[in-house]
Amino acid sequence: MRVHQIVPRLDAGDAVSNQAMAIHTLLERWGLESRIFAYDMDEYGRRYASFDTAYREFAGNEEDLLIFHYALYCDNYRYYLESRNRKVLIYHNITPPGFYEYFYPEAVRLCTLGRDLLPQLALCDLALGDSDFNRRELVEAGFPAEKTGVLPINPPLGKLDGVEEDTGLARWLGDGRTNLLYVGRAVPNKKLEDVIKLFYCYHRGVNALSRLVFAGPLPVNTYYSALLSLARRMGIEDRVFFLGKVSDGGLKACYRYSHYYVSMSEHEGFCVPLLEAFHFGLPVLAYAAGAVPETMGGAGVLFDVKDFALLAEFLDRLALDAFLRERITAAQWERLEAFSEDSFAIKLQEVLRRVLEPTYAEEAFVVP
Amino acid sequence: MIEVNGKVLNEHGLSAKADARLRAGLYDARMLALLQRDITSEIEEHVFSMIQVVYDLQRSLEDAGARLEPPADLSSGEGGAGSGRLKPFMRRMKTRFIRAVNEGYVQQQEKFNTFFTKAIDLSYRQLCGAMGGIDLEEAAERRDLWASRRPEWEGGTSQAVCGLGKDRAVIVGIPGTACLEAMQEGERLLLATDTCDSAVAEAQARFLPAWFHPRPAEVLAYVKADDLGLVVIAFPECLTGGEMEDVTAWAGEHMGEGGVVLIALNRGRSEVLCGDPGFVRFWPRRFLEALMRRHGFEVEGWQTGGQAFLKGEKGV
Repeated sequence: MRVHQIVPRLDAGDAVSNQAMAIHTLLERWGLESRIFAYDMDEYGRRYASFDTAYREFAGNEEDLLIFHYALYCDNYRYYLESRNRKVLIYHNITPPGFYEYFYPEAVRLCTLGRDLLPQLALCDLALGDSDFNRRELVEAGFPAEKTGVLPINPPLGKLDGVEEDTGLARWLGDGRTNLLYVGRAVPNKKLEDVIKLFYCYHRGVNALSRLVFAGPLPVNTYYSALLSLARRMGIEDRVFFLGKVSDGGLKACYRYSHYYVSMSEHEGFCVPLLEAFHFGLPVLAYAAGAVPETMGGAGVLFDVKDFALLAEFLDRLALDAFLRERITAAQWERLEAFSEDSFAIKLQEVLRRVLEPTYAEEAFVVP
Repeated sequence: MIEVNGKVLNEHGLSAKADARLRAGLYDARMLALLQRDITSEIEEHVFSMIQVVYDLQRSLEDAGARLEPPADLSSGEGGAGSGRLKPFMRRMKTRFIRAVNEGYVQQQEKFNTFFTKAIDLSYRQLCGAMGGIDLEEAAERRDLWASRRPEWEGGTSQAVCGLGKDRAVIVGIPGTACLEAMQEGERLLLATDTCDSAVAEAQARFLPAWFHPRPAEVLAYVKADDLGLVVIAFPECLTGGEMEDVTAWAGEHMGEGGVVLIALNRGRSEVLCGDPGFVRFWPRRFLEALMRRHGFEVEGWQTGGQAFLKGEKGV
């Protein structure tokens, strides 16, 4: 049996690409023939994927399995619709277009198209969300509940451990100031303006020796400039740093030399950076929205009201209370076990067993 | 409600502390209003309305049936008679046919959309720059200024600078505390201001009148400078072109005959200004000369120790 995966892009460091690669690695380890097809890819992706047009030659085989990753509107959904393979859809969520309304009309259009398309992808053997939040969206979109499930992302957390950290960034971040960190794309649904507002209260009211660091691409210019404008208006523009997309070494330095991870995002399908922060022992403060509470699984700090002054006080308390900090990081560390490679392998096997005939399931896999 | 490791936190203590800080005036009314403000208000109104117009246009085009993309399921809503495998087969056939017809159109449309969006974005940036609003490049430079170190003047240079002009002096960009102390000893230092908080903090620790501000030119508007005789811009790289203009104009207004403006020429001092040269703006000498002349100063080159300057003296 052959397993094909179709992704919109296969890029280094991207959550969807990481999951496709994790599946690909396990399938090959289990002796199955696995291929990845992508609409586009970067240098890293070129090593593993072919362009999706090459999938056509496999589309007619009813014995094959197609895993379609749906994360954004992309032309290659047509291969999924036309394919005669057994089909598994993995839904990584699409941002509600309303978030982009004031900033980026093109994104509004793409998100609308992506969300409108979802109900029409329901003809499949199994539809998975990478969180239960995503799975519920699938059910709301008309997928039969009994044909849905959850396959969490398997973040390659160990990858950063082996990387040499960026010494320049490390020196700068380790200068004795308290660093608040946010990692991810600067897009409107992540509500970076609220992170700036929290930082303002913390910096102004609690700890003047502090800085806010955003590490991640800045794809929406209008939003980025609005954030700069807000920071300037608040008089903290020289304390707020947008690093853009950083290397693995840079990312490691950010995690290692920051003190708190803050997320104010109002829509997340999973949120891998939370787990990365868990891995590096940063206390995580996150707004309880989307799949965030589920990903955190009762570890870390969750809040449902954005009371910036109150949260600034809480950060202060964290700084003073070592025991509280320890309890939080210990719980976060424990939570990471749910996302280990072994548990991902077991879940992937369950998924494959649900799709394939029992004979395949018995013969094809060796439990690691 | 705040939950720590899944347990609800008692917030009374935290609330009381937050209220106390509020009562103490740490967050002023303007900032409290900013905390409540939506981020969309940061986009200037004219830019916002332009984006909105494009969005509305796109939406009305789609409402009118001019689809920019073909519908997701190309065969939806049409007949679709048949059962078992015939139905998906018919659907695939229809999809392929419609796609073949649409493919060329779609590709053109996608290209158009991409360029159209880019053009809108470019116009937005230009408009922001032209209206004196958010200049993205300037903002990026400002962020990077933290990486540049201030020049440290030697004792001889500081003394020579102290001997210029008369009455009180203002320094923009702190060239080391030695210079400020020499000025203070001569009872000349009115104010030193900088965009670098560590330089200001160092001066303040020595009880020198130094003030931090991300835009130093704005501080000067509040300075009562009746007996001003010397303005030293020791680190012009920390000012934008507009701010250079403002500072020189302010000096021209407040200084009488014999007043001196001194601008350090730091170009080429790579051992002083570390890092990528792109981090700081080296102002061309001709630009600085024109600026000083425009505000009534007679300009000449001046050198002391290893440091070059442009010296402007206020004429009659």
